[in-house]
Amino acid sequence: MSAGPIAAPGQPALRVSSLRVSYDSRRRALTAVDDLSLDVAAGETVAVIGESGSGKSTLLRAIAGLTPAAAGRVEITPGPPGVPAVQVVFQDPDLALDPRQPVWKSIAEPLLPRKLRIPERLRSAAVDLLHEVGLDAEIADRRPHQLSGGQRQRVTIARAVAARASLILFDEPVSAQDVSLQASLLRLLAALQRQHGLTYVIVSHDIAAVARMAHRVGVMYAARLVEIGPAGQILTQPRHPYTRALIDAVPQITEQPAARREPAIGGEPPDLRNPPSGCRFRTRCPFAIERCAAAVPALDDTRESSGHRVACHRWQEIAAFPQQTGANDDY
Amino acid sequence: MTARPAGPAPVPGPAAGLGPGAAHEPVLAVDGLSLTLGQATLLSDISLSIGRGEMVGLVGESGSGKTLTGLSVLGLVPAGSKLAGSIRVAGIDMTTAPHAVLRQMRGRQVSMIFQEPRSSLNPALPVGRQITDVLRAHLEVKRREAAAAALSLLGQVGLPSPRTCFAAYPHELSGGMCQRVMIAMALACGPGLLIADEPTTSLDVTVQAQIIALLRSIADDRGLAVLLITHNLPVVTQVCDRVVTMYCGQVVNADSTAGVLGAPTHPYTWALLEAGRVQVGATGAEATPVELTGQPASPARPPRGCRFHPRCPFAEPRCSAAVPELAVLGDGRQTRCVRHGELLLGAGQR
Repeated sequence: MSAGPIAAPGQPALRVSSLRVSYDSRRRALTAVDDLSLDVAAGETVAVIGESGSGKSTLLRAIAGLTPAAAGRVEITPGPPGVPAVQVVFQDPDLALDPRQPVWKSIAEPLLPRKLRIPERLRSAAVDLLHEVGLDAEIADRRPHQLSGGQRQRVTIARAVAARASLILFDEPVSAQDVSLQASLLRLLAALQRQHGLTYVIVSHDIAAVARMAHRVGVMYAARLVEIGPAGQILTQPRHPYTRALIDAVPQITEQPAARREPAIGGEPPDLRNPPSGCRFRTRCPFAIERCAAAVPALDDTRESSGHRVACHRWQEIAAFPQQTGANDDY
Repeated sequence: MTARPAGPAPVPGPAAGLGPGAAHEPVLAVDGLSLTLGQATLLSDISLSIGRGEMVGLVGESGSGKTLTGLSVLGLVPAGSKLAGSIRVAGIDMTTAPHAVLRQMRGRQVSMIFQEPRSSLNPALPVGRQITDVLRAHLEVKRREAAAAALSLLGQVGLPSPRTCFAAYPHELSGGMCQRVMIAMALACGPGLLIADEPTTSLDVTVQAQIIALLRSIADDRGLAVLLITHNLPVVTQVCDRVVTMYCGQVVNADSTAGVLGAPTHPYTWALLEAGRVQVGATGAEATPVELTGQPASPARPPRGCRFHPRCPFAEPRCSAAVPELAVLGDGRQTRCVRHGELLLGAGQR
């Protein structure tokens, strides 16, 4: 987990190029992912952070092939014959499991994808997978409602691992869990990754929870990638004002009693049917100037660390302003 | 439509208590509350109080009984539950009050907001109408006055264009805006007590911070007493004056926020605090120095002795022998730990 960012050696496990995904509604089309490019190396974990409506879940669905792309490409390195290239762990483990089936059958299902009935001989393989995600064999015959939320999430992870796909996509893997369980779930994901050489793309709104297990972090705002780079760089020296605001908004335990700060930023993300011109964050950005409304900022290389890119006209000027709180804060 | 801007709100202030001696009593005083459902004692001997303008955080993991405690304050307990002890809101005991009184109390004296604001709103009615209806159900006001008050409330909770929101249906508003509408509705009849059950858990981080700041400013400006129920101790330490920790149906710890941040007096509070001490900049194992292992115990089958001892890193043989008393440490601090005198639970302790 302490490994630095893995430089993409040759062919990446996942290559997203100029991806655009649109939804048509009666009134006006909505572009949920706009011209997004992302390479993920084999064995790497990339976390994509964004608020609701930022397009992060649509990105995940488009990578998995569940939502068609309007433009651009998604290329995934294929696995061996008979092994799916990608698996998805969805946000709500309660909805992801068949309520009438014992959990071992749900886990064994990807082992024989074309069979409706799960033969008893797959039980031992399912039990092995339960052990692998830290659950006891005795829960194999339980139904999902007899498990705790944390146990259900582990069952969905076991099922994703069962198919032996090398790329696994996670939609909010820990945000529904108690703080006390989050750390152990993330450690489980890291252990599975090491053991099986898995590649992860994790989308979440919670930068504090998932960023710590990622090699690289990307930040989406209103359908666009606004910053991406090595996790350490993004978390300690974010360059986009939105990333700074996201980090400032994380509730921090400080030794000072009841720090009653003003919220880092006001307002809410824009309506994607009618997004602001230029930089889409400008309507909430404390640093916005006229230029921000006039031109869409390109995702520029900051040259501060390998692969750190930011889409802000003023990032170099803003870098001089101190971060309000967060990791640099040592009082 | 010429709805008047915020005139004198046609609602009684928090001080207009129904009960006797409301001025000297805390707004909420729960004393020795126990709740039994069938064989299971889901809440055991809960005591807590909140004064005017005070925010108290009620923290614990899922299943600790914090939501049930909040619902009990409104008299909304599961059918067949047996209650012992008392819950006094503005001097009225909610455990014994007749239904008619309970109905008057809810909304007028105590309101509650929940995690999923959209599911608490009627999807088929504009939100302004829903607030107007609440006002007219509880107070003798004309529709026009109620509508004007509702519009004013929407402005007071920081909605950017109150008039547009007034006419909007819940699906046209974001989650954060729906929660502001719920807060406006909860404040409509000027209650003295607000129970907020995970009010920000389903919201985005940047909006979370705004809602928490709004609750704090309402508590300060109106003297509202707020019980903030959440599993998120970092949020509590940012806005609350005091912290009450529940585990497995019991209060295990009560302290000022400064006390909790300085030196927690119960290992469970300490563990929650350390688990939440996310260093945003740190990656890898050092990001969370301490981790709570194991599953929370169920109040239906509590462990012997101290209910936290199976998960407690400081447990000794005597911890499983007898249920620890809630020891009073002075200044309203309490802890249910036999080792509280010998443990020094400061930051960084492992």
